[in-house]
Amino acid sequence: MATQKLVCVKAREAAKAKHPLFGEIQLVPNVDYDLDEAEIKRLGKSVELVKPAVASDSDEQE
Amino acid sequence: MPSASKGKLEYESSRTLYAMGALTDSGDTTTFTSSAALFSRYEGSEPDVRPNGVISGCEITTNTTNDTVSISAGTVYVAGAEVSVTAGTQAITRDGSNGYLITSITVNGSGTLAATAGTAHASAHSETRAASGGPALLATTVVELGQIRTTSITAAAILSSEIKTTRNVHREDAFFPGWTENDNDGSITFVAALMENHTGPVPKVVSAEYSEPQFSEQIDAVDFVPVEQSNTQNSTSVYNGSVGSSSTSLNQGSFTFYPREGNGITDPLITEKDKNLWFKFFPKRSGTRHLKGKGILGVTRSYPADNNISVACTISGDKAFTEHAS
Repeated sequence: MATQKLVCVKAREAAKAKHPLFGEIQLVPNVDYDLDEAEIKRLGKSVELVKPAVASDSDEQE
Repeated sequence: MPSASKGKLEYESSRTLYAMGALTDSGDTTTFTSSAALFSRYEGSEPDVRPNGVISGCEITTNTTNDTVSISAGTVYVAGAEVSVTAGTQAITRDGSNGYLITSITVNGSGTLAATAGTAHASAHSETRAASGGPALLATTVVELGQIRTTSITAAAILSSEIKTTRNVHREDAFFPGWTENDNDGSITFVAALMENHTGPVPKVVSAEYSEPQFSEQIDAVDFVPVEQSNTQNSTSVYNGSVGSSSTSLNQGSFTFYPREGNGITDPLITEKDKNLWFKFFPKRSGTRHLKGKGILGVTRSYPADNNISVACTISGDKAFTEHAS
């Protein structure tokens, strides 16, 4: 399975986003979400980074 | 001045049955609409509403095995079918990196238990579905029995404090929130909005079997009076005058018809006596304006020697007839 980079971001405003696990969701302001980098780039200023990237693929873990 | 000399009275003479199927969310997760314009209340044809959720049992409790919970036997509604759930255990999988994880315990239409993890967060849980640290959005084919909220990546026995089963928040209950059935427009309205815990996000599936009335004209009918509310003024004398109050009551509806070959014995409407029927009255036969309502049909037959046989009918309704322009 290919590694998918997920990044934890905080929603700044209500917006529709594509979640890697749950499909299209409605972001709730001030709530954290794990989204992939391409989706975060698409959302632009609707979200802000809250912590460094975390890999979702278990084979990257020790 | 208009008269009802060309009026038309119709009654519920038959019904179209809609088999158990999903109702449509009107968009507020509170009111769900059906394919019927009216719900029939005819004996044996009343709506049978079955929202997905737990009917009985299916309680989640702790288990001595690490990362495992016990689920008691019970029954659930899934897509309108009553499904038996056998008592069992269900393991959960903790996240490898972040400790704060919410795992939903579910059961499907085959009675099979499963665990679906949300996304883990480093330091906090969230009540928001699909959020980091929040519960998952689930398939619409499963019923959520409850949630397990773990705070560590290390395997351990699940504590009772980590099991959450608040109805309409963590757990889907078939009969909570309750609902009212709107016979006048073929919809149901829950007393509170349903949680949106399924992929979409959408609320649980609400299924129902119901019948829509079909109308036939009652020929040779006259003197229709709808079920209507009346207001009464009451007053009580006091030393310096009187104190007034008002009360309301529902008047019984009525009409008369003159039977033909049935002689008031085998006429189609007579065979429906003491049944709860819908009625429509059009003051102008060719128009669309009408009154609509339902009630239990009562009949009083008269067989005079020197006049026509007549049947005086009463309509004992639980609500006033309503006005419709089309």
